[in-house]
Amino acid sequence: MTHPLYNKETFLKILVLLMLIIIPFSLSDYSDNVVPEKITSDLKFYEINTCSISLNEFLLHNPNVIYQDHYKIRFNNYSSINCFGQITGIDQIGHVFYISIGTSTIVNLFLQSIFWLIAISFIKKDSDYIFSLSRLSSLVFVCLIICVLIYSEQRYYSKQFFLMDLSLNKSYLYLFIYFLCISFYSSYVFNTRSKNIIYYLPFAFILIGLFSGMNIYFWTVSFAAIATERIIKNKSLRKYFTGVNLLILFWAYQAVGENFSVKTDKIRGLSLSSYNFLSVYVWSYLMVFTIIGIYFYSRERFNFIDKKLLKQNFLTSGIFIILLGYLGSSMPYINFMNYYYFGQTKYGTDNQDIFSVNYWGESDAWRGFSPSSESIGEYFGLTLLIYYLYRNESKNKSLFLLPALIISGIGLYASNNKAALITLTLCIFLKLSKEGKLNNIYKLIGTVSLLSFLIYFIRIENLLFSYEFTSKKMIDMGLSYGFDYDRSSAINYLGNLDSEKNFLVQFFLSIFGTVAFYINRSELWGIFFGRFNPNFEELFLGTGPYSLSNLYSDIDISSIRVSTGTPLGFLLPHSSLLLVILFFGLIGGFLVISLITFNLNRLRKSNYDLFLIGLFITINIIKSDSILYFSSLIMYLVFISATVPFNKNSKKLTV
Amino acid sequence: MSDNNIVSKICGAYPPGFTDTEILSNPNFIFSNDPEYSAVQLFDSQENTVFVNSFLECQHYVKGGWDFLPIQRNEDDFFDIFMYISITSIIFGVFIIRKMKRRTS
Repeated sequence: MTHPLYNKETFLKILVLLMLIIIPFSLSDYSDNVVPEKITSDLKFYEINTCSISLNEFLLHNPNVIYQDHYKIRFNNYSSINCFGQITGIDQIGHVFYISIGTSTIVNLFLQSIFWLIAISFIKKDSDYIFSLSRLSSLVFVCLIICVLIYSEQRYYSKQFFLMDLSLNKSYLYLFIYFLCISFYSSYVFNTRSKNIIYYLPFAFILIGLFSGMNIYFWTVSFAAIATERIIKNKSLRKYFTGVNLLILFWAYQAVGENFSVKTDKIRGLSLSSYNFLSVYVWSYLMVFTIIGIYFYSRERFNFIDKKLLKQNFLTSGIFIILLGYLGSSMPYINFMNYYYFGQTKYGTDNQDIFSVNYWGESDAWRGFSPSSESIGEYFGLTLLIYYLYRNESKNKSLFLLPALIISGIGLYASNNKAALITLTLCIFLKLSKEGKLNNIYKLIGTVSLLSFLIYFIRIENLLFSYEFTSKKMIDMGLSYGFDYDRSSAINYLGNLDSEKNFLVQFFLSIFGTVAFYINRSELWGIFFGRFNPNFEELFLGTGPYSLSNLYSDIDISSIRVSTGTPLGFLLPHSSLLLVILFFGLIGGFLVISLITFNLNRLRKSNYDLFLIGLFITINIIKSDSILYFSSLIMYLVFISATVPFNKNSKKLTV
Repeated sequence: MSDNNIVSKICGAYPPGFTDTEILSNPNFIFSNDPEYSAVQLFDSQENTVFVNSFLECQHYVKGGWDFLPIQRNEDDFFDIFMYISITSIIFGVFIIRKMKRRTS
């Protein structure tokens, strides 16, 4: 029998993938006698001959651009379709050359979708495709939502669609049909492999799937369609959904008359760019459907999956993440191709030194392929934890195992994510204790070592500050970043708390502030409170999922860092807990915390391995904003939904 | 999009106090140059080109069908092509899926 890797179909798919990588960036008029010149500081030639030289043609004459790190290849989505894959300009800033390549958001939609669908189609089919009316309706509905979303986010999309007039109905007809085509084929590929796709969950950190130029992930379409189909089919679910409808209407109503916007930067795809009634309304539906879709999909499958294969895929994906990250950091061409063909939210790092240290001798965080070193650190931490927990699932030790583990260890170390390292150690220690492998002396040594480890990372000198100072540091930072004439409602309230009248709030705030100080979050969380400006209703019900425009635009704060005087930039809150409170209010935050606590407590008795995974994720996301990246979001949602009780006897999958 | 919107898009915003003049009824009408108006190049569907030197002249030509920009037309053609390819792909996909289903059942 032929190995599946060498059959005709696989060979054909690989060939098509290679063609999709090479051909689009080789197209140009080769009969125009314009021969690329060697790149020098005299860029006249490239200023005159725009849209006449393809990227690959240029690289043939300038092969050094492929591997020399003072070249940066950058896309330009706002260019004519005729210019696709061709050089639209070269600039020199200092010693660095920026080579701009014409791309088109519309072409990207098709090219990237085809590439990803073929890549996913390597996963073995496990069922037939059922073409039903409810499935078709759900696809049409999701595509309509996306079109309305584009209409409501015109400020963003008008800079992405070259010469597509977004004030014309015809443009939305085009977009609707494009998305319908993409979602139809996504639905086919996804649904015919739905049981097997979950094993490839770790590969979501490689195939990130963000359309270049769009504020929508490729995955959003599939998962939102799953949820919609489920809601269409299930009457009782529709009844429960009435409450969600009202909540979404509330969020949208709060945005009436506001017109905030935010430059989505590295959180594109999971951040609404405009804050107005329509955008909040449709975006909230899209996000709620996506989250519900992931939940429905994974909840029914996780209990039946083969842990051995999942573990192996976590390790394999880790190898590729490091490999692609390193290649991308040293080779501008790979960096560009990574961005385009894997749908990255941000170009991979150009820092080639994985173990670099800063001026004070501290390790620099290396993010490699990922947009965030924090989230990739969590990934590697989780990989090692999963390996440890399911180490007995397979008795055969392959040659691949040791290098894969070393690479995951390197990834965790390079990311400089201390919280992931400590929680990994804690979880392994708890597992060892649970298995009864540690006697009391070892338990004591382990506890003392863990505490010493924690103190080492907190730094002993930080423990010498008074409680009065540490508990107030966060709010002080929030006050120092704000201006007296424009204080947020949160900082106004928290900064002027009467400790006698509001003893309980003061108590929790002091603890929260102290924790923030010790884990180096005083500044970031202080800035969050300096910006957080909810009214009474928003405080309890939030402003809608993945809507950050109001947070970043409502309140004016200092644009330079208080401590260093350097530009503040786009600093995220670095806490998924704070983000949940922003999106869903105190009630939402309380419900999420209660749900997680309740399930973790239940799992502690019934499934200790899953409890440890849940504990690892919970501790880490409190101090990171990983839920703003789709790869992390989907991974965490899969594990969190697996913690929800599910009838194991029910073998029938409904999605 | 209304005629006025198309005119504004191509010729620029209507000048304050602009009064429309009936040109077609006057065969001897001569457009006078507006020194404050920067010339606009217009194209017809055959890619013939003309430079207009006043808002009134620009409006007249645009309303007469000189509203094409070659690059815009090019993009529109691509948008149409992608739309037709998408529709054909969906129909083709549905057909194949049904055929495969019939074969397996």
